[in-house]
Amino acid sequence: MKKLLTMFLAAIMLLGTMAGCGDTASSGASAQAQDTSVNVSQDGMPIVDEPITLHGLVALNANVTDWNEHPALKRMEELTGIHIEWECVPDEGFTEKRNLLFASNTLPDIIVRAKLSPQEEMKYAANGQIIALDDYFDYAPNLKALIDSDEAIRKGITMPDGHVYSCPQLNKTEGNLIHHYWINKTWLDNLGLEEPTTIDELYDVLIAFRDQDPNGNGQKDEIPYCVVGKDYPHRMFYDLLGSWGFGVNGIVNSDYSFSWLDIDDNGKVRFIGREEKFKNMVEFLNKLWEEGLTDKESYSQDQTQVAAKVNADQVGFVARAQNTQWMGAAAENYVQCPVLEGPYGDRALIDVESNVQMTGVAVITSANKYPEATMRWLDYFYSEEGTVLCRLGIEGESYEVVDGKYQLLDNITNNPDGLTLDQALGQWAIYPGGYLPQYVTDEVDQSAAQLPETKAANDVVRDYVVPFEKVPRVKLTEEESIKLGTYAQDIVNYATENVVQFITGEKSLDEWDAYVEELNNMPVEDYIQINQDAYDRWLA
Amino acid sequence: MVKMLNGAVGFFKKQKDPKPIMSREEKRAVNALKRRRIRTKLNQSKGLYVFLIPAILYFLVFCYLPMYGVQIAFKYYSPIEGIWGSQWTGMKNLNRFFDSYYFWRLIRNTVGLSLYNLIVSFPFPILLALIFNEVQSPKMKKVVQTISYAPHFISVVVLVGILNLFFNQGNGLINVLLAKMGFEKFGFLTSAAAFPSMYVWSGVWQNAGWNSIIYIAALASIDPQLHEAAQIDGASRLQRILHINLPGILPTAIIMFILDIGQVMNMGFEKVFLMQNAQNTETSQVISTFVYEAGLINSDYGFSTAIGLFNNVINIILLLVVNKLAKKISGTSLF
Repeated sequence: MKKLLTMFLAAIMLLGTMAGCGDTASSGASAQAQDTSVNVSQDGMPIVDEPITLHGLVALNANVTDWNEHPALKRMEELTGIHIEWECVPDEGFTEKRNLLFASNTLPDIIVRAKLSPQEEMKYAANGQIIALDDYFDYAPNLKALIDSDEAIRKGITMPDGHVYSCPQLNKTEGNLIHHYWINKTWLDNLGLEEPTTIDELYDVLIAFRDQDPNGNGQKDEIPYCVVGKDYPHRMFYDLLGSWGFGVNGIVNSDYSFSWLDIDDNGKVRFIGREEKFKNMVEFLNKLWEEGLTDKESYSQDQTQVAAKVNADQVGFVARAQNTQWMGAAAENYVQCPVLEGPYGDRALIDVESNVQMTGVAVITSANKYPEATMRWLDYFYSEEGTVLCRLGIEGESYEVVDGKYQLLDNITNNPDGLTLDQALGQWAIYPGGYLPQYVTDEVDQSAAQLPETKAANDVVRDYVVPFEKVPRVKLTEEESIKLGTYAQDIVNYATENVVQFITGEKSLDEWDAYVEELNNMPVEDYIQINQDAYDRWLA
Repeated sequence: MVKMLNGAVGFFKKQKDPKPIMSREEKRAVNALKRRRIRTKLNQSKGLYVFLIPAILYFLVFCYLPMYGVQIAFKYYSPIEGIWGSQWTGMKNLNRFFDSYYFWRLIRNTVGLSLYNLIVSFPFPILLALIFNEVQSPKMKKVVQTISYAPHFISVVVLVGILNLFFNQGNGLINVLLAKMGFEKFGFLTSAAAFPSMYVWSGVWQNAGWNSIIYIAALASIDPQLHEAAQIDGASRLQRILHINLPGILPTAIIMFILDIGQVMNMGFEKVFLMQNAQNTETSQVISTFVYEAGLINSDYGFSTAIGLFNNVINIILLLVVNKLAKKISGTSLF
C-alpha cells in the first residue's frame, strides 16, 4: 500500500514537472479561423461584414486599464466589427516578451505599442515575420493621405527597401517635439540677474548661483548645473551642442541612442567627438566641473533624484523634457533659458523630434489572416475621430466638445479620487505612455504640450529651433546593421567614456590628441560612411 | 532511509576498489554475485529511485536538451529558419568578440572583479560560522544569525538603491559623516577605482550570513567527543577552534571553493549593470554587461550564445584545474 502511494506521488510530481515545460505561447498563430474570405470595405464602417477575431500583443502602460476591458477599444470593436483578444504585457517586461515571440516565431496577428527600432523592424521584415504595410495602403485612406501630403512623413517611415513595415506616431504639435533647458527664474530674480543669452553669461550666472546663496537658506547647497546622466551620459552636453554649431542640420540617430554623428553644412555626416569645436565645448564643461558648478552626481543620478533636488530648491540650470511637468510643484520656478550663443557665434536648439515622432509603433505579422481589415483598424487611429478616441477617450465620459474644441472633463483633469491626469485618462483613453498609431495636432491634443507655460517656453526658442523636417530618420539595411553591430558600440563607448573623463578631469585635456588618434585607429570612417549612405537614402 | 542511502554510497565506493587477480570462472561468479547484489539493492530502494526521476528529468529538459542550441554560437540565428536551419558563420561570432576594442579590458574586469570577490567573500562566512559556534546562549545565537542573514533576502535592485542612498556624494550618510569629520566628500558611486570594492564589500554584507549556514551545519556535525577530549587535555578555546573546528569544516570549505571557482567568469549581471555609470565603466564594464549592450539589445542571439559558450569553456577549465589541485593538496575534491 505504502509503495503504491509512493509511486502515485512520484507520478504526480513527474506530471507536474512536465506540465511546467508545456507550451503556453502558441495560442497566437495557430488558433486562427479557417475561413479568410471576409469582405473588407475600403471606406465606411464597419470594416468587415461579419465579425472576425484577431490576437494582439500590447505593451500595457501602468496608467491604462486592461485592453480587453478598455472602453475605447470596446468602442473600436462596435465600430469596426473586429474583435481583438489582447495579451497585455506591462511595459517593463515587454521587450523581452516581444523578442521571445519573434525568436520562437509564435506570433500574434498584430502588435501595438510594439516599440521596434528601425533595425529590429528591418530584421523582422527580412525574416518575413512582419508584413509590408504599403501593399495594403488602399485600406489605409487616412495614413495614405498624410503620407501623400507630407514628404517628410513618407521619408520618415519608408525603409531602405522602399517598403513601410510599421505604423508611426505622427506629431505636429510644437509642444511635444521641442525639448528644453530650464533656468531657475526665481533665483535670477533673487539675485537681480538677467537671463543669460551667451555661454559666457551662463558661466557668470552659474558662478553667482554658486556663491550668492540664491535660495536664501544661508547654506551653500546650490547646484548650479544639474544633469540627468545615469543612463544617458551625453545629456551632459547634448542640449548645448547647438551653441557650438553641432546638430544644426540634424543629429543622425537611427536607434534612439546617441550616435555621436551629425550633419555638417555640406550635408556630410560628421563624427562630433573629434572636432576641434567640440574640444572647446569639453573645455567649457570641464571648467564647470572643476569650479564645482556641475553636480558631481550628474552621471549617477536618474530623473527621480534630480526631481527631488529641484523640489528642494537646489538646482539652477537643468535640461530635461518637453515641459516642466516632471518637476512637480517646483515647476513654477523655472523658465526656458534663452538659446545660448556659443564662442563661435553659433546659436541653435537642436534637441527636437521629427514629426515622425516614433516608428515601429504597430506592426502586422505574417501570422495575420486578415491584413486588409487589420490595416484599416490601425488606420482609423490616424483620422481625427480615431486620434481623439486614442488620446481623449469617450465623449461625455472623459471629454466634451465646447465651441468646436475638445476639452477634457473635470473628472479627468481634477479627479475626485486624486488620480493624476494620466491615471484618470487611462481609464477612458489608451494614450498614456504614447507609442500609438495616431496623428497628433494642436486641435486634438490636451496634454501638457498645450499648457501656457509650455507655449511660453516655445516662444522663447522658436527662432533658433532646428526645423522638425530636418531631423533625419535614417534607416539601415539589414547588412549595414550587421556590419555596424561589430564595431559601432565600441566606437560610441570609447568616445563617451573618454569625453566623460575629459569633462570630469580624470583625464587631462592635454591627452585630447592621443584620444583622437586612437579613435581614428578604430573604424570610424566606415561608421560614418554607412550612416552617410543611410542619410543620403533618407534625403532622396 | 538513511541506511539505504549509506548502503548505496558504500556500494559505489566498493566498486572502486582495485580488483584482485582472478580466474575467469571466479570472475564470472563474482560478477553474477555483484549483479544480484545490485538487483537486490535496486529492489530494496525502488521508491527512492522514483523520487530521482524528477531531478533527472529536470537536468535532461533544462540542462542537456538546451545544449543542442549551443550551435547557434556558430550561426547567424534566424527564427524563421530555426536553430538547425540557420546559416553557419563559423567563428564569426567569437571573432567579433575577440576583436572587440574592449576585449582585454572586459576579461581583466570580469576576472579581476570575480577573483577579488572570491578572495574577500570566501573567508567571511567561515569566520562568521566559527564565531556563531562560540556563542553560548542558543537564543542569542539564533538572533544574531537571523540578523546576519536577513540582508540576503533583499533584492539586488533594492540593495543598489540602498548603496545609492548611503554613498551618494551630495547628502549620502557616509559622505555627510566624512564631511563632518573634516574629510573631503568622495564620489564612491562614480569612482572607477572604488567600484570593485563597493561591489565586493556590499556583497559580503549581503551574503556572508547566508553562506555561513552551510559551515554552521558542518560545525554541528563535528564529534563533541573531540572537544571534550581536547578540554581534558587543557586546550584553550582558540586552540580548539584552530585544531578541531577548522579542520572539521575544511572539506566543506574546499568543495565550496571549487564550486565558486567554477563561476569566476559568470559575473552576475544585474548588480554590475545597476551600479554602472559613465564614470566607472573603466572598471565596471564586464562581459555580461557587454553582451547585454551588444547582443541582447539587438536580439543578436548567436553573438550572446558565443560569448556564453566562451565563458563556460573557461569556467570548466578553471574548475577542473582547481579540482585537480585540491585533490593533490588536500585529498578533497568534487570528483
